[in-house]
Amino acid sequence: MRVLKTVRLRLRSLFRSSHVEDELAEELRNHLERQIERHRAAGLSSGDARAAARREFGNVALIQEQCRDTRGVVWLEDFMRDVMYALRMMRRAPGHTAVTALSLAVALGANTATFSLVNTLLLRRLPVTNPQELVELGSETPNGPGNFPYPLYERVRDQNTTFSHVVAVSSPVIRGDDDSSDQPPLGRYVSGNFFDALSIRAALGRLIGPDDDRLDSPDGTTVAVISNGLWQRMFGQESSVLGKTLAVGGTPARTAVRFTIVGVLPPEFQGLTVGRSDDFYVPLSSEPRISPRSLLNSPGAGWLKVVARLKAGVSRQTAKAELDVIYSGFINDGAPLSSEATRRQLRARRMAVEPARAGLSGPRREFGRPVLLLMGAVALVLIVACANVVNLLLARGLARRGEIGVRLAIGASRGRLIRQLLAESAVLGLLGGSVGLAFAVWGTPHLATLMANEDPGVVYDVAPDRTVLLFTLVVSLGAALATGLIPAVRVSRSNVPSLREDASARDARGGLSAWTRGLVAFQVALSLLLLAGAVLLVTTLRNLRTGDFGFDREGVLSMRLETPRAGYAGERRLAYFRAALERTRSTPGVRSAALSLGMPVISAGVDMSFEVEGRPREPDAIVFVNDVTDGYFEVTGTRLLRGRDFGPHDGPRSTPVAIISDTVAHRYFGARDPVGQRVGVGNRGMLEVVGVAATTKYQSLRESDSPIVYVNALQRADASGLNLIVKAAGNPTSTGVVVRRAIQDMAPVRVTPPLTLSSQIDRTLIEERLIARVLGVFALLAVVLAAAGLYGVLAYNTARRTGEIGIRLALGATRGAVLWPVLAESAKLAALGIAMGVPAALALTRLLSNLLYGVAPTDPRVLGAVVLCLFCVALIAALVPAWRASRVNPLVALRCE
Amino acid sequence: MSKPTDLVQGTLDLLILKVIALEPMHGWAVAQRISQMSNDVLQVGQGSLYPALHKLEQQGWIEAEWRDSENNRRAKYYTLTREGRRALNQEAAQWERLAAAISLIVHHG
Repeated sequence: MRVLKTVRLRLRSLFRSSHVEDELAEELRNHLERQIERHRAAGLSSGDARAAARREFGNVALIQEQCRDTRGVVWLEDFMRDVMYALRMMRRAPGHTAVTALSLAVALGANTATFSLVNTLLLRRLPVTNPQELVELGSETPNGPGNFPYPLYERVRDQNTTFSHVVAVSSPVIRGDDDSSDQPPLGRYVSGNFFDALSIRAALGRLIGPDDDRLDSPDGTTVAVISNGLWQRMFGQESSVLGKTLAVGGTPARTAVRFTIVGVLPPEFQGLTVGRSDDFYVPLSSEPRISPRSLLNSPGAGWLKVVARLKAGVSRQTAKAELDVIYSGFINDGAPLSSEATRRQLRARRMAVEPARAGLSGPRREFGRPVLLLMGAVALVLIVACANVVNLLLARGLARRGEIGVRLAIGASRGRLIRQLLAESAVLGLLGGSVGLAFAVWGTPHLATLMANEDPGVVYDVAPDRTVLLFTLVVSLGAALATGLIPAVRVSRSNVPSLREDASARDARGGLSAWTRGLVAFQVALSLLLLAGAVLLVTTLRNLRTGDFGFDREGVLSMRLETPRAGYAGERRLAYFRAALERTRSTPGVRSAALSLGMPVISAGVDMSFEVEGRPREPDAIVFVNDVTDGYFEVTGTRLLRGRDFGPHDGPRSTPVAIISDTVAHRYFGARDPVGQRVGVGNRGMLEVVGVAATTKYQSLRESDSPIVYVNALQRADASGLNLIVKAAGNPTSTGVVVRRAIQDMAPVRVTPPLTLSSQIDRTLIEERLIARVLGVFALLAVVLAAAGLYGVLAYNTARRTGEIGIRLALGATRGAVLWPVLAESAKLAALGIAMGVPAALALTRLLSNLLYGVAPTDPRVLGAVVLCLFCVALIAALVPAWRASRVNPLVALRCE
Repeated sequence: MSKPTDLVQGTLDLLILKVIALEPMHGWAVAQRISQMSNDVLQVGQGSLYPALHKLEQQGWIEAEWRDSENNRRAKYYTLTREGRRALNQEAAQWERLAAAISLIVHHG
């Protein structure tokens, strides 16, 4: 109650202060009158009584002041007054305020947007109870914890003592069939304890429990739980969804398995991977019903992500130690492995236990570092913007020296003045921050789309949450106070005599202050840093996109043909593929076509042992193997250096043949001709070399040359799916559509939509593209802000020196003579900034070195171009002030003096 | 922000509370009553009285209300709140202890 009353009183004094003041005045007047009456009653004349009462009463204003102090809202009142005053001052200089707030807004918007990514990827916790207990388990790999085979998951779940729960979710997704939508629902297998361990409650119905996931009861396992999103999208949020069925995993649809929907997940749970929202979950035990070759009993196939809850007080190190023991037990006795070599290889692996409070580590590993790098870059943009604000405030403070001098003279305290100037910066900061937030809300989804890499299944939820809002508030106020402090302190130091200093005396001191010059040069230096980084990344991207990697990507497109299980065994499958190839070649618009198991850079990477017949096998002789048909080299534009291509005559019954890459030929045959030799390649057996192809990049664009062996895809019927690659004569997109329809007309085979090779390779460059693009935008922002800063300072300086320029013109100086100094000043400031920026760039671009390709972080051409660009910018920024200086009318200028 | 110098710090609050406890009254009457009750020994200056009254009001110990007084003049009347009464008892007890202690020392020996 009392608190309420106090608050009410304080609010009253704050917002109805004039009312409160009136009451006080009336109360005191009342008192005075009674005192006068009393004196008159004691016999004084009316005049004497009044005088006596006043004498006794003392200083009314002082009493009022003291009463005001006891109300305890002085600082708040002062603050409100400061804010009002700040708003009034801003209204008086709207242009200045707009420019300052806009620079801040742009920089703060960029910071908020980037921070939204950091928040989504790295900070946001999973919406489960005690997310900090969650850890991700897996073998140690450079790309984060590797996948688990099912038998190892079972063993860890049953033998560990350090986790309270161990759950598994499949890494590959399974497709549901939804006829009404072209975006089929994607789901995953989960262990029966999954939802219970994460303590997630159903929004409707029930979730999958341990009873649904029993390997011994094959009939009870066809239940599914759907996400809230799918419930809305596919079932119109009807509660009658329970009991309906969802068809999963059938191509074509008639082989699909029907799952009964038993529950709907709450909207906040979207899966364990940031950016991926799973549409449905089915029990792991149903996997054999969907997959033709079940992985449940395979000890070598890693396909599960395993997440565990640490018991209270157990450290990750302890858990890891125990996990290593369980793992080596598994390798030694649990797993019937194909060979002793595999066992050795597996035994060398170590387990990793990583925090999973923000979800599985995939996107975090992929984008964590780039996003932090961008966060660093965008902080520099903010500093550039802040330097602008400091300079503008300094200039304005100088203009207000007279006013401040008066206030100091009549007794305002310095602290009070600083507080008032800071209130102005705070208002500016909040203004910039709120506009910046609007920029960020508009811009962040673009960044998220860029990060999703054209994959419709990936959606990053980057909507600003409390953390983001708090970040923006703190950074806005922090930036405002940091930028306000220097000018405020400097201005409040102006001493009282400066009141008397007239304009010409100030001009006589001439030039810009060291602070201003330093700040502008600093801005140029930071822009140089960002620009250099951006140019390096853009150059890298161009090198990766246009470099010679041994194959063409223009006009080449691919689609994957997936033959069904039934009716396509052995030679029938080969016959189908041969027919599909011939059909494609006869389609108009197709220049050449081939089939290929792997695609260079995109989905390459089966490595196998290699030996040359008649020679002992070298233990580390490994080659990459790709199964291709005739025409592959024509389509990809890879040159055949020797021998011949595969041909239709290389059938399943003729000698198995291979084409080796130049790298393999050099390494294993030296100067001898490999054509006609026989080589052994992994499980592909002994093959006769019939040709040598030019070396190409195979695993990634950045690798040094890979040793590749091409095997004839139409001599063995192993693969149920192959990529059809086509070189189009005209527009690849329309050709792709025609070819796909032709293939689909032939037989009920699944054909993925055609994609151009260049777009697919571009997808593998997501990290480079993200950084190049965003860094490019940031660098541009920094340069524009620095140019605005330079312009502002030069324009201000020219305006200040109008009188001096007028005198010089009156004394006979030419227009050029007053124009040049402005340009020279700008060039000098730019040079100063460049002198600071180049060493910083040389030191810091090293951070980018493992992202770069075909360009050194210290490439003098890049730095040269950046320096040249900044000089041009400095020149452009100086043009208007210089021109204005040359247009000064001596008569007008002198009259102003 | 001068403090009342003619009274021991803090005692003015006690005196005001005590006087208002008798009946609601306005500022002038408070000053009069204090000097009256102390046989003109204690004179409360306006410079101390009003800030003190406002402070007590902010603390929630007294409440103010505009009322018509004897000769049809409006005046601001102060009333003790329940909390004010509690505070008065505490302050009074505190004062008794302090006064007793001081007199012990003064009369010692």
